[in-house]
Amino acid sequence: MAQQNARLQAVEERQLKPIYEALDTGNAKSALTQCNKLLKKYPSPPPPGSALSAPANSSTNSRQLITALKILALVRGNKLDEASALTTALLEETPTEDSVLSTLAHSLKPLDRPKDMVGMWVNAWNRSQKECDEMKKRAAKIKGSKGLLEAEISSKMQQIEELGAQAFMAMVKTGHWAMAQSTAFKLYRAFAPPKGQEEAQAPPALRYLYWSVMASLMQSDHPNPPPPVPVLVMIPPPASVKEWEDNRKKEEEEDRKLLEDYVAKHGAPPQTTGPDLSLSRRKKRTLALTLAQRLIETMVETKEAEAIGPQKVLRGMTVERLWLWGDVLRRIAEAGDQDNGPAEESRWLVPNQLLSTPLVHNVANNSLHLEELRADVAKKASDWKQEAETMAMRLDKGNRNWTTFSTFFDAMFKFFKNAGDSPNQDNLPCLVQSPEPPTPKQEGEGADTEKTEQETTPAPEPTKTPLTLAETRKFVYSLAEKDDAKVPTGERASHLGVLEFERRVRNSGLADEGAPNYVDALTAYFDMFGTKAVLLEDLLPYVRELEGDEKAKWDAHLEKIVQSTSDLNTVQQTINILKLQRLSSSSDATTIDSELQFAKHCLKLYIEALPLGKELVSTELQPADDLALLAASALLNAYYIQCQGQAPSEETPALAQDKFVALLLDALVVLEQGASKSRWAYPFRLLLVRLYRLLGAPALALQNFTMANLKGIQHDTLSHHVLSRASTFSLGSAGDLSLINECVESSQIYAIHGVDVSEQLVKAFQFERYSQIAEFVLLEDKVENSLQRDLTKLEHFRMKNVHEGLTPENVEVELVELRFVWSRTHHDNRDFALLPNFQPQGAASIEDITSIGGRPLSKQWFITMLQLWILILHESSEQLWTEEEQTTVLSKLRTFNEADLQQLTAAEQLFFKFSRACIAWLAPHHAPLKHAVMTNAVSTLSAAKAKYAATTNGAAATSVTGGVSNSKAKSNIGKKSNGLSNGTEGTAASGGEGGIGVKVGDMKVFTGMLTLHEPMEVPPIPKDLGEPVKEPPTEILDMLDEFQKLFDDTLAKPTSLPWEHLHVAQMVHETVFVAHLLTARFALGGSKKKTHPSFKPLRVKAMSLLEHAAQEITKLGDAIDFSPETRQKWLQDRRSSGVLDILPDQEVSQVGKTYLESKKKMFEQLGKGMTKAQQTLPKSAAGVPAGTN
Amino acid sequence: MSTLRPFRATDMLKFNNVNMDVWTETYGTAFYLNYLARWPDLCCVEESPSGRMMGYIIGKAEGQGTNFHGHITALSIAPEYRKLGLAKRLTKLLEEISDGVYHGFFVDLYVRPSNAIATEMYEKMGYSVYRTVKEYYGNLGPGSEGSAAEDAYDMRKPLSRDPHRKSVRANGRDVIVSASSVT
Repeated sequence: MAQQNARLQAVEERQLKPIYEALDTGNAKSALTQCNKLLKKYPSPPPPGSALSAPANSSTNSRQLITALKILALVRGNKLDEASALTTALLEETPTEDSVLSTLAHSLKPLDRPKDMVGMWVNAWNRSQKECDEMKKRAAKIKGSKGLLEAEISSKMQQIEELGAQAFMAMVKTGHWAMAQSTAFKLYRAFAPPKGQEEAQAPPALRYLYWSVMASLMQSDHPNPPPPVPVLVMIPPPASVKEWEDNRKKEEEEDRKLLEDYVAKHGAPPQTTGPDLSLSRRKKRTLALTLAQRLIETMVETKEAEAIGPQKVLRGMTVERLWLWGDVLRRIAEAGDQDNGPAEESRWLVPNQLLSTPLVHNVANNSLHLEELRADVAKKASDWKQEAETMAMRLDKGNRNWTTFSTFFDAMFKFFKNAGDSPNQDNLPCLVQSPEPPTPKQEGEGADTEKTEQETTPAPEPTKTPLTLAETRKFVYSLAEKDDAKVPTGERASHLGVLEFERRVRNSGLADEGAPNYVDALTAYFDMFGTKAVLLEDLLPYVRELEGDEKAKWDAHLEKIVQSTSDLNTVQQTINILKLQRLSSSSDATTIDSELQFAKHCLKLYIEALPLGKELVSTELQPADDLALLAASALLNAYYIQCQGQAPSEETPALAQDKFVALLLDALVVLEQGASKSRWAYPFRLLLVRLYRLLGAPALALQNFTMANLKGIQHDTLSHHVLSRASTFSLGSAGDLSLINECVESSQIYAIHGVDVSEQLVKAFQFERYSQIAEFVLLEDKVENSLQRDLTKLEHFRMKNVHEGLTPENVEVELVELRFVWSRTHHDNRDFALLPNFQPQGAASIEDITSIGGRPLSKQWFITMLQLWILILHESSEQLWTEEEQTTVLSKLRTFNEADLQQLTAAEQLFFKFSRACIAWLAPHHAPLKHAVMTNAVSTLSAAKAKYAATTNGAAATSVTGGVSNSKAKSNIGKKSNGLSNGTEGTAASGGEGGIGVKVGDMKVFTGMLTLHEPMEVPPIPKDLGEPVKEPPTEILDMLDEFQKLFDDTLAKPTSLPWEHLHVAQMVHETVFVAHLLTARFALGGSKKKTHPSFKPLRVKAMSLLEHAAQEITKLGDAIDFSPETRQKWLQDRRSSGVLDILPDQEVSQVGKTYLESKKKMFEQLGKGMTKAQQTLPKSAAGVPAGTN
Repeated sequence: MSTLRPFRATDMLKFNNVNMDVWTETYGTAFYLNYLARWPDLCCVEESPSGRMMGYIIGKAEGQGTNFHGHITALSIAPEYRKLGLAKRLTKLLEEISDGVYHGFFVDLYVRPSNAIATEMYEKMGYSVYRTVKEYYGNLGPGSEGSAAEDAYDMRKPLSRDPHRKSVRANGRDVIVSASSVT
């Protein structure tokens, strides 16, 4: 039998190999042919309904596997309708073979069947269980040949366990935590031996109980699975979306009721301290946590350990299981604090009791995770005495982790604060020391020495010193002395421990005579570690607190030190002095002149120090880099101060434009100089990216950005440097796709990220790494709902509009996409900590100074622009939203507040005002048309369905109409998503031959732009619409005049930077685009179009605005050259501040040449693009369906 | 001053200052998560009090029989925090866990011979070249921008389970093996 099976398997493998190969190499067609060929060898599947009665055998399994592969081939070949129908048929058979189900799992997401992803495993699991029960019954009846049946039953049991585990993992992947919890618990009940009956080795099935606990913990944070992502744009939305929304409504209703009850009982709404959770969410959280506790405590056993008294342990204890137990208790205390605030120590006694046992202390020595949890809980429980003593012991034994110091001080100062220096010594924590000093080998630094804690040496008696303030000081100083004696290069932590101790003594206002001079302590530290780059971060917090005489004394000390560049150590010391002085000074005392002097000084030192790094290989950073960065920072700050002085109220004469940007250009030269010497120093690159954008040379910005060579997740955290307001710099209108491509490239990660995380999440469960699971889910949420992801998406969308226009199909698709984006809760993952920020206290940050628009894009900016674009698309679309959507969603979309609008630039505000005015004007006209189109679509669909049913006996009609849409529209679906879309590929409308409509069976029925998937009730036309108007109101036309004025003013203003010229021009282009998009929808095209208001005046005026802008931008580009005169002027200008005097002409000149050439190209190309747009725009802005003219 | 703490999945959102370095590779998300899902205790971070990441180590435990060992997959310290003993502290932690928790025989790592500073640092920590793996890296280091392959040193340090130092040898640089024999 076994041999036969093996032979069968070998045959099957040989047959399937070419199919797998074809699928792997992307040859879907060949895979499909092979599947069909093989399937002919098998009997056809049983008719629906009878499947369950047919026992599964190897032939059935093979057929099902080939069918699953065929489905995959169909999906890859974009034959989704057929794939979906086949999937339904296969699922009706309830396959139980792992390979069949795993193969099918690959197709379910692209087929938009998220529910089946979990459902198919659960069904297979249930079926196997039933089959097993029947086998058992049979076994009970049959007396002979029992052994054979028993072997079968045992193999069936194995299958059941495997299917159950797979079902659990599918729930984990999809965030169905409640289901996962009960599934794991069922597995535990079915497969784990009862308590006390297991063998010495913990059985693997015990883990199911811990899975169940972990799932319950996750459920406490995520009671509901995430909202379904619509894979296909469907009108009306698919059932899964509706179900999710119904659940949400139910929860809202429950919240309302709970709140009413609470208020009735307490007279006021609850006061809570934690995250803003609704009452029903809190209730669910408590339930889930209580369940987790109850479950894990069924595993507790009390053991009598010899030395440490009664000890509670878990069955099959591991570090991660212990951690899980601790975390359950911690979360319960935390939820208690949040729900019934304020925080109370008493709530933390239970977790602390567990986590302060000797067992946990011992295990925590080798597990940073457990130690982290232990320390957190001890702190919340205010277990200060124990903490102080533990930390003192660790420090004494050589632990130099900074948390050990800070926890030690946190704990000790609780005692000092309460009782001054003469407290009851009995209550004070004690330093316990063995009289014999540990051997040098044990004394080494780091966590290893903690292990000696465990090694109890019986004699002699340890000494106990109560830690008074004086004794604590003695102890802390002794650590530093010990380190000095031991490691000649110096351990910083113990010396910083000394500083931190003295700082806390001062800040607590304790009467203290033993204190040394504080500034002396700081200068001693500087003398010791002044040549380390980290010194700035070490000392800055202390130095910034100095005032009056102390500050003067400190400053004098730094002043005394000669700033030299003679060797690597003195260069670093010089850099440290300059940074400490600059970062602890006040911005009030900073002027343009002082900044220029500082920059000049730094640049001089930089050039002097360069020879020190001459011999270094190119992969090394130059030791003097920071001097150039300091010089550039000072120039940028000088520029900023100059901007502040240029407010209109000031009476200073306005600088000419080239004078105004002079300081930025000087900074550019310094940064280019630094980057040329230190190729891999990213601070130069990033600052150059930002400056080139400000200065209107985005191609150079992109070039520098590419040199940073970002990979993976860095695209999410860093692409904002080059993609914020990317549409300002796009040359899409002129056919240059570099920025559009950058959006696609940087969004690739989102397409694969979710899959990656869910696969690893499953692994974390398999390996039982419970400490990781919540973090994985958090990461997934943060990246999936990343603000930068959607900022990039929005910019990509805007750039594409101007580049290639917006077809009617795309209007519908983008509308659904952007609405989905709008419903997300966004996380801001942008890394703002990377730019060097050597600024005086109170000065604007380098981030702000170098941001387009004066600050990084905010969430409000994003939401405002997003809502505006959804409104524009909604107006251009043929969808008439349901009555409910009109009242709830639309009204929310239309809500903007003044503060949010202030986040927009002047040009963006005007664009906003104009678009909204157009929408208000056109809505009464559009609504009846949308209504007519929808009514038409519904009746066409019904008629088509009826006709199809009549011609095909009706049997299969409904199963095909579920996925109507035609081929071209869906051509995206099977392709690898590029991450810019949320999976909502494909479209409701379509037009392979320019036609639009529904597909029923093999008939295609034309309607309007809209394809319906299911019959639906057509919502009524909104009642509050005004009378349809014919002419555009004059105020809309006036806005275009306003735009022209803004454009002209911006170009004429000497204080506007090149990016502003580009920005206002691009906004003009986008405004004109929107004017066409909104008016084109029903205005052009075939004879079926209804009468429409006269759009001509608006269009003519918009076009002349675009023409004007194009001409002016072209002129600006034409005016740039790099003739000998310009070169001379550039050099002269760069010499005017005196900062760059030390740099040779050639190097200064080269930067100018490269920059001006790039800027010229940008302006010329943009001018060309905008000129070209005057011809293409009327067509590209959704005037006509794709494929017709 | 620095705090030693576990590497968390969300640290990927803030490790740029460490990873924007010519020798440091940024891998796909799955790479880091795979390590965390299996050996979270061998993945640690050094963090400054302001919360800035100073450096990290990522490791695993692998091998059969006397070849069972800890492996340093990635170790990187941000430029401004170098020469403070952070790499040493992280390595020491990985060695201790490999020794005390996983009971491995040695710890090993791969390094580009062209990265002389790193090689020297590991030697100071007690590692020695066990063998030279021919054309292990897909290209010559970042400085060269070439596409030719580069060798790797497989460096090892014995742990307490290998008291006779059987996992190391004196002339490792001269023992040359092909990349296919080690992967």
